[in-house]
Amino acid sequence: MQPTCRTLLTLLLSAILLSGCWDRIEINDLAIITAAGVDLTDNDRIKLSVQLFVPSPPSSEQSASGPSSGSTNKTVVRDAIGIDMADATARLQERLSRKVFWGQADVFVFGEKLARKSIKEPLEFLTRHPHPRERANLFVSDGPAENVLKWNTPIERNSAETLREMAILQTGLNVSILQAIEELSEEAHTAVLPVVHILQKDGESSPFISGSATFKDLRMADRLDTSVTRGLLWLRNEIKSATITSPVPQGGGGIASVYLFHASSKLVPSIKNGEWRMRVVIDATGNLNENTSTLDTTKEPNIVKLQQNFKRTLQKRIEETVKIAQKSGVDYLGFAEQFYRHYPKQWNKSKKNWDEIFPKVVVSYDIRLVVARNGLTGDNKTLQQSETP
Amino acid sequence: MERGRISAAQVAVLSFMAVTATSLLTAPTVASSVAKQDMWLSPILASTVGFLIVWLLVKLNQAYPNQTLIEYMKKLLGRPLGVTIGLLYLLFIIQTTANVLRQFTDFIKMTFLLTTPALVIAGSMILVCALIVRGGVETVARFATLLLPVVVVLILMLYMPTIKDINAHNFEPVLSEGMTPPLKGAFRLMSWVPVFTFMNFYLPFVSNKRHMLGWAFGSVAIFTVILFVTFIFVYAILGDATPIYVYPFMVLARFISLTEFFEHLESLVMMVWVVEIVIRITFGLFSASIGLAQCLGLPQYRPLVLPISMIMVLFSYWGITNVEFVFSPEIVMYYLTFGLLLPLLLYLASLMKRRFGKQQKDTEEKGEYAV
Amino acid sequence: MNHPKTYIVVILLIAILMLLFDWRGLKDAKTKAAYLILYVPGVALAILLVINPNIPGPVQWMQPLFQPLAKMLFKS
Repeated sequence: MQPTCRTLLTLLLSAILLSGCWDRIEINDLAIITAAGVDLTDNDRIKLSVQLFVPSPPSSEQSASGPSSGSTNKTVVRDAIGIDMADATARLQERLSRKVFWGQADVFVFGEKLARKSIKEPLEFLTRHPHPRERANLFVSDGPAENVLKWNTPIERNSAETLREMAILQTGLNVSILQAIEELSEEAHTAVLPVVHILQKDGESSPFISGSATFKDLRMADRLDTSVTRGLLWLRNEIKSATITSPVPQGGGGIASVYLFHASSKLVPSIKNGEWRMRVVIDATGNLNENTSTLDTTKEPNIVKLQQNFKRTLQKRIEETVKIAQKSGVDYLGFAEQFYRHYPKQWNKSKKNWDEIFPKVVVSYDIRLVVARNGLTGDNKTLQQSETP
Repeated sequence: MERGRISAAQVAVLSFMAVTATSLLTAPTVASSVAKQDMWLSPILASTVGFLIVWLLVKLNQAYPNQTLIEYMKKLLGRPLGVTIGLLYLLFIIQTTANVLRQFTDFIKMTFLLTTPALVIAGSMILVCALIVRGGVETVARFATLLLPVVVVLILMLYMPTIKDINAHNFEPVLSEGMTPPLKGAFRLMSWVPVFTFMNFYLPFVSNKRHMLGWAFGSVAIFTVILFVTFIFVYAILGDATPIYVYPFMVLARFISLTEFFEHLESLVMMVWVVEIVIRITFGLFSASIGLAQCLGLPQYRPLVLPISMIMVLFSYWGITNVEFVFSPEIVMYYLTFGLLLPLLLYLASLMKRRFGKQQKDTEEKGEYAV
Repeated sequence: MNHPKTYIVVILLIAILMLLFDWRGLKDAKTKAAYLILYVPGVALAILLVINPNIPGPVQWMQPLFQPLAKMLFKS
């Protein structure tokens, strides 16, 4: 064979490869899932409902005959029932003209009924399947998860986006799949997921994150309300900013608020004479937000007094969370992990009795709260005078 | 047979990149399944074996400067035994490289190209490698050096954005169960470290032999550092969930979210992986081709490249239903037998031969004196 | 495309191309012999694997060979 002949033949042969694009897929052949909800039906089957993002072709934006409204992208909710997640996905595929694509699914909502039974099934599917991302957020919904997906939000693109943004703002918790898996595989086998509550008002429903659900061994154990969840966030060092309002008994019964922009917490375990102790160390800095008490904030002793009040309120809030957790016997505070990390030997010995030890752990608090700035007004005499007759 | 000349640095780069190839993706799982939070110690412990292997190879090469393991084995053990063990050793090279090829196709089929036939993925991969190997030892070595910056930049691009997610507390408690778990982890890593033995096929072509030992140790050291850093990052971010995932490094890449803008970086992992696997397979394919040619006493090795690559593709499927077996203890023993034991025995044999030979000479000299 | 017959045709095609590509480079008889020793069983095995993908391979032979050694070391 001539050299030129050889190169030509090679070029021609490489054309064979062109015919074999097995995994080529066009975007309008995909059913892009933005959020998925998993519920349990009455006969113990999995009901998977997905929120699909239907990208409209770009040409419709220019054509005058197309829909005139600004957003042409549609969001559709579909559901299917199956024995497990994979089966439900297969069933869902039967009802769709496009191929199911999980790669953009950022929000997964579990119905409360399913959560009470076990979240093992959906979690196993989501971690094993190559497409769903580990950073996707997990939620538990108060009622059926389907309702959360069906909700049409006016502000964001769809409800999935809204939930995700809310989670990022940390009004409640922000738990990704990876984080949930990590916490469930830690010593205590517990996890906390935010709860989506659907508020019915004037015939309009609007879900928002209210409180959290605690999980023990993949099963939902407890439901915490918002203030307890805030306390939990303090313990888990997930607080980013907080506003603390506290009455000021020294200042004529007024109220003062501080906005904490820096907050961190640490759990320091210790075992002395067989007594398990946990010291909660909290460090917070904030600006004074409001002060209706008669205390003059330009004087330093008064600031210290205010700080003491805020400290007491904060401690009370955290104490409440700890009390509730210890009463329920489910260690979602992360105490087990801390004991394991600092006292591995003792921990391994009494790992089995942890459910009995946990309620008896003595918790002490070490809070350092600094009011760093007083805001723009100092001694606000005019407003405080008008209050007192 | 091969007139190419390469530098010691090129061999070092080639070897550590080849050994890192599959370990980058799957080693964290394997090590963490036994060593848990102490897994970061495992690569350091495993590196001792790597250093030993490399030292043995360099010593053997200094004794027989222009010969590969196959050639001096024939000399040391005699022709029939040398050829038999040589063929078994070549089978080991072909099979381990085939396993890597299988892991590669599985990974690609699993995460990116779900419906593409495995034959096409494996075939196009091996074709590239065969072309590189036919280019000679210089091409093989320079290819690795050429792609080193690409791999380094991509790996750094994957590590840097994850720094903020690091949780150093994941490593506590340190060594709570003594040294046994990290040692077990190091033992599991032995399904990668013995691949350093393939280096012996490249050492005869090194032009600056003076720096050989330093670069060879450097190669093992860099491999250790890469694995160590990967383990630290993976465990600091995934924590106790590391053993759950088959490809923790990939999970790491998918977890990246920089200001919600830089997301879905798993394609970078694929790029790193493809480049690394190409280097790993050329590393094995060249060794197998030149080894076979020397074993059978052929004048050239290039014609053998394509048939051997065909056999590699076949071996990656023959009798393997699921590639999980690669991490089984039997395979570790298989690797250690050929990767560590064989060079060790050869080194001992060469020492004995030298001493024995000297004694023979001495007696001969004495005999002469006596006469 | 996934029919076994198609696979066999593709494999034969690849095999013929390989032979065409390499044959001119095979100068002496020894290399030719070595090439064919690798080539003929390789193609035969490829076709065999397409017909029956579950024939036991070297992995199955090797594992029992190293099992006692592995067990010994893992226990200690």
